[in-house]
Amino acid sequence: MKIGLTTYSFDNKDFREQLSSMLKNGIKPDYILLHYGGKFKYNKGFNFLRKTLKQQRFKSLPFLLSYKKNKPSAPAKFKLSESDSKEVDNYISLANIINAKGINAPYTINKIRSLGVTMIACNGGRLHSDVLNISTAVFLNVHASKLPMYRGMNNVEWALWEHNEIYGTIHKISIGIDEGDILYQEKIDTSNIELKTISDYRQYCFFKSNEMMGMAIKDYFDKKLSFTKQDAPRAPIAQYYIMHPILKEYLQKRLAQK
Amino acid sequence: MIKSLLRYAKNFSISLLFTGERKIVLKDFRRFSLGRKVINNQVINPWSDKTYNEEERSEALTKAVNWLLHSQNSMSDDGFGSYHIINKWTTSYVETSGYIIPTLLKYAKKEQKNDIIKKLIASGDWLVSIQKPSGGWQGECIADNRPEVVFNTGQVIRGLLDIYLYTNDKKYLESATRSCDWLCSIQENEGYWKKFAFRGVPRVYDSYVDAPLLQTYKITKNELYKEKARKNLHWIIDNKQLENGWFEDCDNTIKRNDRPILHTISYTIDGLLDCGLLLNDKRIIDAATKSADKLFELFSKNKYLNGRYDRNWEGSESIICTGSAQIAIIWIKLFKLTKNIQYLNAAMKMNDILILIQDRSVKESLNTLGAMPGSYPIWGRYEPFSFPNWATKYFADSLLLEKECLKEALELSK
Repeated sequence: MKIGLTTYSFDNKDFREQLSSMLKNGIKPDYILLHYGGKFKYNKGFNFLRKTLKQQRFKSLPFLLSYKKNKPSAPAKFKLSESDSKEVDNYISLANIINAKGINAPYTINKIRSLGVTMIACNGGRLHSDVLNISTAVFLNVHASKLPMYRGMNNVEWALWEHNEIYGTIHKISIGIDEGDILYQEKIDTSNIELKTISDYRQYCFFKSNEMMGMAIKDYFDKKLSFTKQDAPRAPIAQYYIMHPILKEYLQKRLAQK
Repeated sequence: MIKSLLRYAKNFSISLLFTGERKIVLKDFRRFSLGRKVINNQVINPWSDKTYNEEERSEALTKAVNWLLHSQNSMSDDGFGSYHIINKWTTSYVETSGYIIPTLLKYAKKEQKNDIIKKLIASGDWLVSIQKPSGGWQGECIADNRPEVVFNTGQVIRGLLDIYLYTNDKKYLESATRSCDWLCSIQENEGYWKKFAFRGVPRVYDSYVDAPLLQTYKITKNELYKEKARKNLHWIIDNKQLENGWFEDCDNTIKRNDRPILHTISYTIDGLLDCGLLLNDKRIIDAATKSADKLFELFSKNKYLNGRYDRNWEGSESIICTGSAQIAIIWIKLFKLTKNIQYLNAAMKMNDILILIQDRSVKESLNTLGAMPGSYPIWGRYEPFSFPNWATKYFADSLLLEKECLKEALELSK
């Protein structure tokens, strides 16, 4: 079985952390699928500029200008160490890069099919059913919360709001949001670290969740782990949605007082 | 079709050329037609990322209440009217004057505004004075001088019960019980109302009549009120609700009964929910929740709700502000019941949209300042170019309830 990762940028924090965790666990991905259709849909060069200006109505200009720069800087304790980051860069420079215009593009689908049996850790872009229906591929997602309890958006925030523990989960991507079979789930201990803001919690929890990717894949290959079905109902009301800013503000105040 | 187009053309040209409200129409034109963006083939509306803080929400509520009071001041009696950009003020609308009372009374008690309470008592007196000999209240505006209507009567009862509970003056309760007796006397054996129903056809939104009937039962202990309300509720959920939560016979027209407006869908759900809670009947609460959850799903997906929905919940027509506010109220009630914060979260997002609609940021007269239009944009098919008082009433209700529940949510999360 081939192992791969997808990303829309090599600077993507989640991608780098997942790749690092794979390398640490002795897993060398066979390919990296670099797609340009994830978070910001664009083509290279002129098309990128034209589309961005037209579709995003200039709002993406700051993104365009900062594209080559690193993504929002994370506090030192929540990001890869310099040596890990270097190892990731070295690996990328030698990796088999597959360039694609979009994660759901026909070219990408054909390319994934041609890879044979493969497991892909995905970053950025929502996968359509055409991609998810490729029978030879398993698409993995990192979810910084407990499943099936917290499906949807802003899960770290909602778990904090409800005074519940935060988990990291590696699961199969399915058509329904966060409903795929679970490969690995572990509680994230936040008691020994000073976290004061929502952003702190998010960065830390995603950092710890991304770290689980390499170990989960390794244990799957060693037959120590297998996929488990989620048995919770699929009702939309059982999902979580973007938290209203007023609720966020209250949560923020509560965290600061802690 | 041609008639409708001609009417729109007339309304557009008169409102733009001859009225002081042309700025409102132009504003909606700018933000609705030009403010929309298309990203990745999806229409992104201006409200997609607009949110309001607590202070702005309180301001919106105050403006809404002030407009309702201005509406009462603009009448020759003590009722509440609506404002139309071209036709100007209507006379007092009997039904809505009834159910505006609980909204303003709640606000006045909270803000300790005795002057508002005095005006509401005057409104209650006026409603008692125009009660028909049968016990019912007329449909539509007072000047229309229509016969009594079941639904409208139910809504006047809401106001009178609130005034009775506040003043303890028996005359309001007597008036309410007289109308409840009348409602019971004309209910069909099957459980629905046909005689004295709007357009003479049975409709499921009469669940919103059952709620005041049950409230009266709670005060008077007259078992007949409970029995009749229960009969109507069972007729609705056993015969008229589909498996997917949609209701048959839910529109207040004959022609478009296959895709009722959100306003009457909301009446139906709200009535069922209130009655389920009053009767402590899980089956009725579940029936209401089923439909409310479907609308929650549609709102979560589309970020707004359409004006009408067919039996497959396919939406059509633009936003109906009244219905949107009513659904927000239902979700907040469900939050109270289930403690599921997602209901409150969705209601707050819905209120963001409504505040944006109310916040026109143009110079306005007191006739429109703070008022909620029937539709968004203002030329939408429901109550076009108009500010019906019930839209502002439900908007104020939603903000009041949101404020109350936000406190509860914060307590729960402490």
